[in-house]
Amino acid sequence: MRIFLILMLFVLSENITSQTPASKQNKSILLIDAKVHVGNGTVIPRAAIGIENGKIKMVLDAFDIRMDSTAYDTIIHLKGKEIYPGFIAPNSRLGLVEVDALRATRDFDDVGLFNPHVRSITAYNAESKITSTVRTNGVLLAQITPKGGLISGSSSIVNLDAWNWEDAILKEDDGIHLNWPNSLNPRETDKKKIEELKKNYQEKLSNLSQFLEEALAYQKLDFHLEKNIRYESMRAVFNQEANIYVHVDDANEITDAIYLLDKYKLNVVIVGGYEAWLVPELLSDRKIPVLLTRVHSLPKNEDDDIHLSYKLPMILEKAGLLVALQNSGSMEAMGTRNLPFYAGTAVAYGLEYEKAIAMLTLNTAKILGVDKQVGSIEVGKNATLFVSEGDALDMRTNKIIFAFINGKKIDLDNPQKQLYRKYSKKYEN
Amino acid sequence: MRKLKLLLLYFIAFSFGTLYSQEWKPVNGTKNVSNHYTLFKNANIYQADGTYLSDGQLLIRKNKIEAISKTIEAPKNTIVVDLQGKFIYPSFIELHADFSIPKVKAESRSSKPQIESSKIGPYYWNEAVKPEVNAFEILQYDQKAAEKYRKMGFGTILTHQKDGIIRGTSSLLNLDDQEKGRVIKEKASFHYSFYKGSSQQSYPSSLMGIIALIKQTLYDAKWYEENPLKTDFNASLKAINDYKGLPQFFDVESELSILRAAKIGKEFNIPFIIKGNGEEYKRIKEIQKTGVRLIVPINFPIAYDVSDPFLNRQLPLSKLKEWEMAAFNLRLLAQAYIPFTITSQDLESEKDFYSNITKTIENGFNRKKAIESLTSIPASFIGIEKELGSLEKNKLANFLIFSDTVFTAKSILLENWVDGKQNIINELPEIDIRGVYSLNINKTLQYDIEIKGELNHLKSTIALKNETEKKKLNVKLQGNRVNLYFQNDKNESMELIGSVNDRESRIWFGKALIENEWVSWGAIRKKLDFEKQSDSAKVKEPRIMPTINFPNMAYGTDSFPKAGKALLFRNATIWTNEKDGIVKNYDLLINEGKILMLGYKINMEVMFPKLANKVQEIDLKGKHLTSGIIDEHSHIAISRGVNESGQAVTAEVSIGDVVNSDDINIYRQLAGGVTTSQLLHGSANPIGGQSAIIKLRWGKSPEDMKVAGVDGFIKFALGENVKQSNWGDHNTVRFPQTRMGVEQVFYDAFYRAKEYKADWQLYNAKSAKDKKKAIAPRYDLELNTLAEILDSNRFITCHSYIQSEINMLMHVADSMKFRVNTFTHILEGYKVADKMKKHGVAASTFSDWWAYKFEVNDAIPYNGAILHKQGVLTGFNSDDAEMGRRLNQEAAKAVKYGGVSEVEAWKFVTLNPAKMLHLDDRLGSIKAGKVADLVIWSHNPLSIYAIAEQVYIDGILYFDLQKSKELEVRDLKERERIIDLMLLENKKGKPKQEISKEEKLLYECETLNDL
Repeated sequence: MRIFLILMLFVLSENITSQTPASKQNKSILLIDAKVHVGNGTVIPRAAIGIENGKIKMVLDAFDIRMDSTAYDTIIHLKGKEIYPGFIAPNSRLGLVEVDALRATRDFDDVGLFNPHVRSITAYNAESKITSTVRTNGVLLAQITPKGGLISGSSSIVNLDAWNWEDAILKEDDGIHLNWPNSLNPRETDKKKIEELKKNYQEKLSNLSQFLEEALAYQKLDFHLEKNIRYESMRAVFNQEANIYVHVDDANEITDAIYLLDKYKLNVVIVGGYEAWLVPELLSDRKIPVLLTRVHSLPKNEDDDIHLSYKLPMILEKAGLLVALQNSGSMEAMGTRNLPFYAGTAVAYGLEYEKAIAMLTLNTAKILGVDKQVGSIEVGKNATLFVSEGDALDMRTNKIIFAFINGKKIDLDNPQKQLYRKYSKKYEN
Repeated sequence: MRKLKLLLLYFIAFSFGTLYSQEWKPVNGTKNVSNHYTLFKNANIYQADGTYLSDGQLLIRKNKIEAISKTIEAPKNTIVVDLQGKFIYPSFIELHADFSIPKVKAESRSSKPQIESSKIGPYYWNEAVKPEVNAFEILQYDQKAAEKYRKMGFGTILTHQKDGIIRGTSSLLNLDDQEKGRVIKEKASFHYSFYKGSSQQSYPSSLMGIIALIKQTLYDAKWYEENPLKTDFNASLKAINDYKGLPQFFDVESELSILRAAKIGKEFNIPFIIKGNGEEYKRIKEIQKTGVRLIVPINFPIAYDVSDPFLNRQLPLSKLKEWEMAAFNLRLLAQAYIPFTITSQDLESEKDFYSNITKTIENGFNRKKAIESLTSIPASFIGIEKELGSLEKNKLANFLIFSDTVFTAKSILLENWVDGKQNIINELPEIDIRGVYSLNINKTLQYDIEIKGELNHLKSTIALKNETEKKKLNVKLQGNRVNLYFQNDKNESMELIGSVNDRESRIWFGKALIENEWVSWGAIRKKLDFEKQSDSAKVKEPRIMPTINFPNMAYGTDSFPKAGKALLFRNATIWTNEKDGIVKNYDLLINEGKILMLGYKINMEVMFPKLANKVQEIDLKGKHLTSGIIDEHSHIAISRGVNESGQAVTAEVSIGDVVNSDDINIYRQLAGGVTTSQLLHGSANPIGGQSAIIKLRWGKSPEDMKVAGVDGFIKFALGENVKQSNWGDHNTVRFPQTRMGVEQVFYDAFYRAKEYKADWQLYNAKSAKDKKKAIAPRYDLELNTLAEILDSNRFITCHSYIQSEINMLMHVADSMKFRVNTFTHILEGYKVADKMKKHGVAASTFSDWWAYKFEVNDAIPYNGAILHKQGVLTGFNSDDAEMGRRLNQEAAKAVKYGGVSEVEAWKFVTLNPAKMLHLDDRLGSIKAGKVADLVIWSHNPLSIYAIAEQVYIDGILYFDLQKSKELEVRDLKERERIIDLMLLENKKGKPKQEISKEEKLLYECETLNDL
């Protein structure tokens, strides 16, 4: 019986819910001879990266500089390998849902139209099984984002290796998410209903204006005896300490959104932006960045260029916009591991390779306001990066052999690999 | 001789007894006989041959035409009507109405699905099948509606209850108010449709279910007729048999459904008359080939409000072209010699009836044809050409009087005579008052009046004498009485009453009450010869017909590339999927759609001297050449429902019946290198429907897309979908609700199929004599399909996730002695790969999907690799319109997850699915003799950087990246051209409609109810 129990434990240990977070890294690490994609558009063909106390201490061209490798506790030779800054998945449901179809596991959409006070971070499951399968493709950071309603709440940016949500935080409550109403409803053919929707749209816009006006008035007083927690949560947005993420696709609606928000002087980020290419000046004049709609998606209109979604990163980049890629949509959480490949497709359709990398790293960090800490492999930033056998944007070569989050080498195993081993073993016998 | 005459008279009287019916009803008061004749003279009478009898005479008595001729000696008791310059036509006949039939409302009885029919009595088991309904039994003559129809010119109307898939009989009525609708035939025709109607029964929930239900009902009716020994009475089946001899009508929603209905007609030898949607031009050749007759609506789309160029992007070219093409439809139908009649149904307003037909005539549709398609053709469709449809002696006196040639802008319908009874539609004033007048009131106030416009629609203005500012003037003319009303320069109301003095309208005079005093006024016509607008129709050049794309939308092809060209691809890296693996710098020769040779530096002069001078060489240096991608699991290109979810077992339905050739995703996936797709039924039930295997021959019709000579396949499903786990709390009624139940559904189905087979074997073994004494088994589409599985003539692709259910179905199959062909999804296949290998089933899985529902919790991206390694035939499929266009990337994930070699990984989306579909004898690899379905890639096809530059199917270039860019430009221009036309309409103030987002529902396994 006792043996059986031990056996049971052994089997269970192959099926733990998620990976054990890495322990504190006290030793310094030197990564040497790999090709480094810095994240800012540059490449160092053979680099030396020094990591100490969770930070990048040194980034040098291994050709140019002679350095003292004895200063490092661990030296990892990575000739022929490639190093990338940890990819960032913005606008993500990761950790807010485990199984899409199971209501009990869905924690991303609460009741009500105006929920700026709703915070994703406290519902974030740092131990999600899905997360562990995402890290293994190079996605090491994510913006955990609530959905639904007109204002769905505030997102937070997390490191994808932590014991709990609190430890995971890179930036708490980085912004509020506003889902711009639809002026047109898909698949509506009834004339009266179309009219109604149009009216509805105007009504929603005036509700939104009303909300913003009241919230603005509210925040002009530092203290209220009678609190409105909705308005309280908007303070950071008006102070420009937090972004306002406007989820919107159509050119007309983007236009409406920008002009409606103009007077409040907020840090606006467009999320989606399928038709941003039609109004690029509107965005570039105000330096409004775009978290672009999923690259691997069908054109929204029957007549659109069949490859429009693939080309959008290139088109928007050429229009001078700050663009990062994201993944929201169906199969979102588990599909986060395919984020690198969206960038790969964008390269196939005309985007420069290093610019594509930036759209997963430094651009994203800039947009989310965390570029001081992450987003590129530069001295002083968090040592959040990974090593791939080859080109990380191509699934043929995306093989992550090491990944570091804040200098800690994380466990690249995951429950899927465990099952793979378990059943491979079954057939070996 | 005299005797003979008497006899003849008697005979005539007798034979017309039915028409000249004696009074049935008791008369209140004294009998009021009217035996007079009416003679219409000096008219242009339209004749059956399309010519006009000018200065013709038409003599009628009671409800019949007595004579038509240049000169008629009318009897003394004749009322003579002078129709100088007017036109007489036969009244129109409407064949697709539900006139005077009460509407059937759908009653929602419960939030739970209704599995069985709620109809009580000896009727068919499905509520949507209502052949026993007879229109004449539920007729409630609707005088208002009759008036509407008469206003359009209809005299006779075929009416049926527009509810259900089989709708029963119609009645043919004359729109005769005095008789409250005289019934000419109480059962004139029999009606089918592709609309489910008010039935709340869950089956059928899809178009393919509707088609299967119609077929099954017809087979059942046949059985019912051929087996007199049966004991149960069924009113529905009896009705179908009883009314077989009547004209059979079919109501459908699209041009593709015309083809579908025609196919049913062919199978059951029923020459359907099919009511379409007015977009027949989209597939005119295919419709022509079916030989069906049509009823065509003329409800042209309203122009969209195109004032917002951003918003216009939501408006697909297909809609723009539909708007433009609508008024060309009839012309094209006529050119194709397709017999059709025009229906007024679906019109927004009856006012559109004349304007739309007039428009089609301006667009080159022949006027004679227009008249015929409303008169003689509908008459012949329902077999009443002896009584109606033209103006001839002894026919019913149903005719129209127009002011001018019918279907011209100026022409006004004045009278519609039905059954010899006059109905006045529009009255033209007897006096033509158009002209310019000078008016004085009380001898002091001087005005100028101008009256112009159409006789029945005058436009009048008034101005102070010698002033230019014109004001609106109301002129009301009644007989010789005339009323004028206007506001003077002080904005005071001026009301004048008086009369027109003479027929030439030279002088008007009368009184007006001004400041409480009656004063005199008078008007004198200044210009006698006021320019009247020309009455005759201007003969305009018909408009040039816009090009029709196939399909008629963005990226639609306007010319089909020629088949069979000899092409030599040089210097390519070729992924053979054969022993040679990947060969570099190789050549590939194709001809007549087949691969001729794969070789190193093929020397044409030596090896193929006959082709040498006509072969076209294509240098593929640096490019990769592969066979086309085959998607084993796709749900694109399907019309009106991917799931028949109404029952747990629906083996009778077939995706093959509902292939939609107009789905843009065909083109998009073609551009991703896909050449062949299996279009599968969804996974809503344990035994779903039959699949269709198509090639993505963009532009071709559904039938032409299907791969010929393939094995039949059917979709099965297991797990959460079939037990409706994620369908909400009300879906807890249909069996099965657990995996336990799923197993029993299969056993039950296959035992029933076995019994069915045995029944037929027994019956077929009987002698002809014994057969007569026996009742034959019923031909059952569902059991027949299942029996095909038992006989290994049909093969299963089964949606599956977890190992228990996978194992279960293999056990069911083993015990029934057949093999499951393919497990699709099969995300836990890696757990039972050994068992699958033993059973001999293939695995068509996703590369990396998981976590979307509970049963995919243990799904791993290494699944494909393990299955492959264990010797299971493995492939990756899409099940998703988006993923379907980059399956090459998905194949690469087999390299990433589990380390499958590139050569083998590529087979996951080409050769292996070809094997699963039993098509590897002709598809899936590059080998002499196989079909030339080829893709040219810019890079290694497994690479994220690979772009499909050219895609060949049957050796024909169906996709070309460069050409695609040209098509994009072509479409942008075409959009602009049509939008400009719409803008013109918008500016003219014509009605317009708002743009809505045209987002089509993308089908997945789980998509329900999109009927």
